[in-house]
Amino acid sequence: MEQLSREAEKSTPKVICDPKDNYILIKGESYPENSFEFYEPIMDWVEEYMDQVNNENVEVELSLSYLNTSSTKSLMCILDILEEAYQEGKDIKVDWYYDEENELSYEMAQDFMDYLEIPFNLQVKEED
Amino acid sequence: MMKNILIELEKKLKKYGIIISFTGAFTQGIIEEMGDALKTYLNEKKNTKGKVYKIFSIYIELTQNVKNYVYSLDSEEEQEKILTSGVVIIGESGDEYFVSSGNLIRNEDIEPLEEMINKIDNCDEKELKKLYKKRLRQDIKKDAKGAGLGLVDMARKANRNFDYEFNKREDGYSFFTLTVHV
Repeated sequence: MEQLSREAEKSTPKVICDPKDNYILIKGESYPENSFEFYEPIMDWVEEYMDQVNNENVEVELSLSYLNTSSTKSLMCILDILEEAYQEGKDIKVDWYYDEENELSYEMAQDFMDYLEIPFNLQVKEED
Repeated sequence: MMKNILIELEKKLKKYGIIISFTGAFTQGIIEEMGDALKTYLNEKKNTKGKVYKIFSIYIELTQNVKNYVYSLDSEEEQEKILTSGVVIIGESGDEYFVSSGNLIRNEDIEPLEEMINKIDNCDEKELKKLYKKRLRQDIKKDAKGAGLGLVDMARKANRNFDYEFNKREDGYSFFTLTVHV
């Protein structure tokens, strides 16, 4: 499988989906005009990747300071895919990094945790 | 003449505490540029990061809601008419901020929107949280573009109920204004 990456732009986050390191990163702010268009390739990638994961430790790093509601929907779809794999017994660790001064990011994580079984490790971000 | 317009405008902006205002079609580029200016201004005013993102998020949801409404319509002529009717202002009043948006709306679309707003206004924090979760799941299933989730999200961040109005016109449209206090 190929790596998928996107540099951060004004309204879209930085994305790294690395199958060799078993690492997924989504970092930044997300409020694109069409969030489905932005996230669809990532959803497809995660789905295909999860199908081929066996007992590797998969690390998912989410460091999001702001998501608009349509990005929240898209991220939820990605988390649903991870959740399904987690429930099948795959080793997936989700780290959510937040800025202590930004309670919004913390609240977003709380919402996701409320909707999902897969645990989030909440971590305070050292710097930007 | 121009000078007089500016004096008049400056007085009005001061009187209502308006920091940023824009009228015309909200393109993604304009939304981003104004959003940057807004964040810079709020940071300079020593607001916490959480507060800055709260105000920013209401601004984004309001402007993107207008756009989503426009693109839910079939006729290009109607899309153009509604998109160019858009206005957004961000201001300060006492110790809170407000974000207001205005746009034309077809009269037949008023009822479901007003119902949704009233429903949200009658929810407490816990009920809003539940409604948000329900709406999020529904929207994912249907890939819906309605204003529902955006409105619930804004209500969760707002200090108090929405201020809104529908001003009926002669041509089958109304001018809808919505203010969120944060």
